[in-house]
Amino acid sequence: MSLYLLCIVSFIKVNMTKTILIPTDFSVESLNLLKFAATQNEDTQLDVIFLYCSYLSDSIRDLLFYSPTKIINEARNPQFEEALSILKNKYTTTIYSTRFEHFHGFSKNAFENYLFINEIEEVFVPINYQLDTSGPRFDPVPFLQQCDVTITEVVWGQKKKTRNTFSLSCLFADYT
Amino acid sequence: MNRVSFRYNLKTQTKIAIAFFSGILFIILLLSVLIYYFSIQYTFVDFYKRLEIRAVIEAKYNLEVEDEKASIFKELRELHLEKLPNEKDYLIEIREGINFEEKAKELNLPVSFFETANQNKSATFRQGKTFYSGIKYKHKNTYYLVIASAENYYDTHYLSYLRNVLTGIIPLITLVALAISILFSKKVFSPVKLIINKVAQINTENMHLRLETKSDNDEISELVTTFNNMLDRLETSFESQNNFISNASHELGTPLTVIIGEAEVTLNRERKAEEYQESLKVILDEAEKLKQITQSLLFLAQTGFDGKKQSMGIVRSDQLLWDVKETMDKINPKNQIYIDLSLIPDNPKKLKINGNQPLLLLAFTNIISNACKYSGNKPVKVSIGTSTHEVIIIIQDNGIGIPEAEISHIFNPFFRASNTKNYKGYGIGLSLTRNIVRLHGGRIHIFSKEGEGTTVELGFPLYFKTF
Repeated sequence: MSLYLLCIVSFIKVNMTKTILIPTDFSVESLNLLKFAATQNEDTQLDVIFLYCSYLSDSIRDLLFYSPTKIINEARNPQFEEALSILKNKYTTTIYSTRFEHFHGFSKNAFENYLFINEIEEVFVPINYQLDTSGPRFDPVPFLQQCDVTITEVVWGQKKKTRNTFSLSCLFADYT
Repeated sequence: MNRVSFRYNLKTQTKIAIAFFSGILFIILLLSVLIYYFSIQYTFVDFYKRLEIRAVIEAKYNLEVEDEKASIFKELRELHLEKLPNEKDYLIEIREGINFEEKAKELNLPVSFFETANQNKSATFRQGKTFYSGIKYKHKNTYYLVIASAENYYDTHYLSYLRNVLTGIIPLITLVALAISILFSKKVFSPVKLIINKVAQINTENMHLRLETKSDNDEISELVTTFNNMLDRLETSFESQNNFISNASHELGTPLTVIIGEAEVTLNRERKAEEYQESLKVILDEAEKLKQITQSLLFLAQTGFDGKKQSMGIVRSDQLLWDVKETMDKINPKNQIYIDLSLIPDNPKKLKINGNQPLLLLAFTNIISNACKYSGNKPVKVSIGTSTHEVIIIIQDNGIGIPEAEISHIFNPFFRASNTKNYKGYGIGLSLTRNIVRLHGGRIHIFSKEGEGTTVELGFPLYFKTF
């Protein structure tokens, strides 16, 4: 009997995984999306995909040596890693895996395809936070909002306009 | 000061020169030996071939006498082939059941030489400087063994010339290599010498001097930048130490002046009892200020890097925050301190740091009371979280902030920002806090915007490195 129960429990546990997508600009502030997602899904194992969007280079040589890993590694920064490790320490069981992906598609269909292929069940987008669009980066939020997928809009408290989005204190915002 | 001593007290420059030189020398010697060895091999093979040709010609004009060509061969040999030293030719007819032993004894040659020549149609043999080459020659159904022997002219002349050249050139090249290696090591170490000379010039009187930095990104310029950074730190600590004494005497002087002034004025003439009470109150206030300043100075001195060991133990950082909250509630009941545990780690091990509980308590109380004081008891948020290596504590307030230009001086003892005139304080708290944080191997960062508030970020290394 107890073995039977154990089987059921483990079956439920295995089934409670969810793939979510979080658009990121590698600022600490944007990690509030993950914090919110983790608080909402405490009993679920989350496979987190961080989506970093930027245009491809116009140079043919750059295209020849195109490497998503390189682009992502250039964008990652110690503050972001530190903040992510804080979240991972807090939500040890909830955040099951994280991975970073570079995306350069620039249409609704491209995003639809991407979401379909990666079997993404939920997307978290910020409402009052504008992802950094400097340099080659672009904001994927408008495209994601048009896609046929569960969209969760997240609002968090931002006291000052002049705040540094790379400061760790950004992670300790309040949700409204 | 520990001085690094080498076994032979050699300078690194000399060591590099020696290593470089011995490398070159080894290569030259190896090359010479190889050249000499392969030359010897080649002259041997070549000389055997010459002897073989001579043996063939010998056989032709000795055996084919009736042939017209024989005279031509003889002429050819006498005209065009130079006489080799000690050249000798032997012609042996090979009959059925011939025994080579007799011949071998006669010519003083090993029997095996004859047998190999008989079997393989040619053979070579060397006895000291004399070389033997034998071939099997067929003439009119009879086999002959033709042997040509001579002293190796090339061995004695050509090789000895090569030997002389090599022995003459090696010392010459050695000298050149020595010169090159000395020049090389000098060139390598010239920037280091420059740095040494420059650094030697810098002392306490001219701390502002810096080394010249080059734009190239090599190790030497890294060294120069490191030196310059170190000098920056030294200069600031020198300055702050100098300022410390003047600031301290000023801070201690102000209450004393007030006390003296108050007492003098009161003693001027006879006064009423209330007046005496009033002035005694002022004196008491000022004396209490003095006591506070000296107490915090004492703390500052205790936490300074004076080699005194502080007793360290495992401290739970979240417990510390609650303790601070409790203390603050006693000192300032109007405070609005919120402890945000939303990102506190699951594993309590990840909250433990190595530290001295009372000192850490002092440090946190300083920062949090500052946050309450300079924000006029507006809400203060204290958050805690753990990254891979450290416990991070963030204290945010909505106070008056710190002017941007003054943030870099905020940790200096007795420094007070220009917008703090209306608040009580002596400027010791933050420097004390920084000393405590440094003592624990942690870090402290202050982000602030004047009029908006201040954020203090503290990081302390975890007690347990692995989980």
